[in-house]
Amino acid sequence: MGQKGFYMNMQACYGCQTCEIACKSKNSLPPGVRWRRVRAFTSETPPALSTLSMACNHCNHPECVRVCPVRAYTKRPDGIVVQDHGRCIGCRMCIMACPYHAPSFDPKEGKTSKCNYCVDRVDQGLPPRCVEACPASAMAAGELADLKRQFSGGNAIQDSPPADITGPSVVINPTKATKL
Amino acid sequence: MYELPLVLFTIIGQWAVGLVAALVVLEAVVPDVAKSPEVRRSGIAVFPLICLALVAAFFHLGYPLGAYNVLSNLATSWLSREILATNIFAALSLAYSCAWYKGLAYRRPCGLLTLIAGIVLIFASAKVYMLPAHPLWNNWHTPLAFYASAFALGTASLAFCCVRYFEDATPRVWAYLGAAVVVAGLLVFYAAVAGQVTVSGLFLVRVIGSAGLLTALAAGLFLGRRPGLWLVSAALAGVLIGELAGRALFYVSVLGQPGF
Repeated sequence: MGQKGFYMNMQACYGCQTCEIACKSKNSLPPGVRWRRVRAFTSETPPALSTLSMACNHCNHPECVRVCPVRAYTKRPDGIVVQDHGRCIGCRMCIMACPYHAPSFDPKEGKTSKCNYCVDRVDQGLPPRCVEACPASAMAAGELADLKRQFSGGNAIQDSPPADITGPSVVINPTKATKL
Repeated sequence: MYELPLVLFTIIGQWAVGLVAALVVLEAVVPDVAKSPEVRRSGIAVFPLICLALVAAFFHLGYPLGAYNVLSNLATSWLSREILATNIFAALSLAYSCAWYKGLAYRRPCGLLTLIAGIVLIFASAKVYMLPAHPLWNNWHTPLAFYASAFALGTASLAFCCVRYFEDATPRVWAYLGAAVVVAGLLVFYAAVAGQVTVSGLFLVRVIGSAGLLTALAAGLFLGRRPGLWLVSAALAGVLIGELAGRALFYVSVLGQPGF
């Protein structure tokens, strides 16, 4: 079983945030908690606005797994990083350590949570809800090796954290303005 | 500011370690120092200080009821290791403070053990923040800043608790203290500047509070004037406020910035 990952096509993404809403709705996330966020990047030369949808990247060397003091995070054999929410004590160490700020803290509950790649759907052979909901078909999910074969792109863009910190399991097709 | 409990936990914890270091060195230099009631009170204060730090740490947790699991990831998590080191230091501090309270004979070896545990604790604390995702923290300035805080607070506490006892002390003793104060001041100043974020009111508070007041104290000592209670009190309060401001700046300079 190979490492699962996401493909994000920035050239097709127009920032509608349907993926964010689909994720929130599917996982019944409380106000303020977002597992997937659409980031906007502006540049003057060339004048451009690019958007990138990103959640947990289910990294090859996840910092959240390394730093969590209560072992709330584990990496499954298929590479998906899942959190045992019952163990979380809300220390926010994972948020501090994750270069992509993927975990999200809920002040009301006092705990952190993050994208679980819709494991319940994936185990039934369905794609994650965000991928299914994207109206521009700008996202794909599957085995990282297959995504790399199928699409062009890399695992970092301009202004993103260096990919060698955690080895994010993503293929990003950047826009001209965000290309490394 | 959700980092406030962390500011209090790290600074008060490092103060406790600095105080142990100051007392261990003081006893080595001036063996009969234990007769001083001020010094004895400082020894007794070590354990309450680390307890106060631990209480502050609990306020950082969103769900403290699960804190019993916090040692589950000693294999890779520096936070687990920091909490373990804090508890070992706290246990030894209890024995050390009791030894000062009751005047027990094992005080000096116990102080040495407590100091070693404290040095390990500060190293573990620094490693918690040396994260590859944050280049501003992920370098040797972080342990330097943490050890500098402990040293500055320990030295200022030492001056404070010695002021009455050393009224008739020899100039040699004052020279030792003056040298310690100078080193602490320089260390704090260097740690503050090397911390890179200097465009902040918190930076000024740290430099004026910690390094400035320590320099004033050192100047007083080297001019041959034994400092009055007001100067050592001001120096201790200034160092404490300065170090709290410096630590707040440490957190804000990274966690206060918009992430990716």
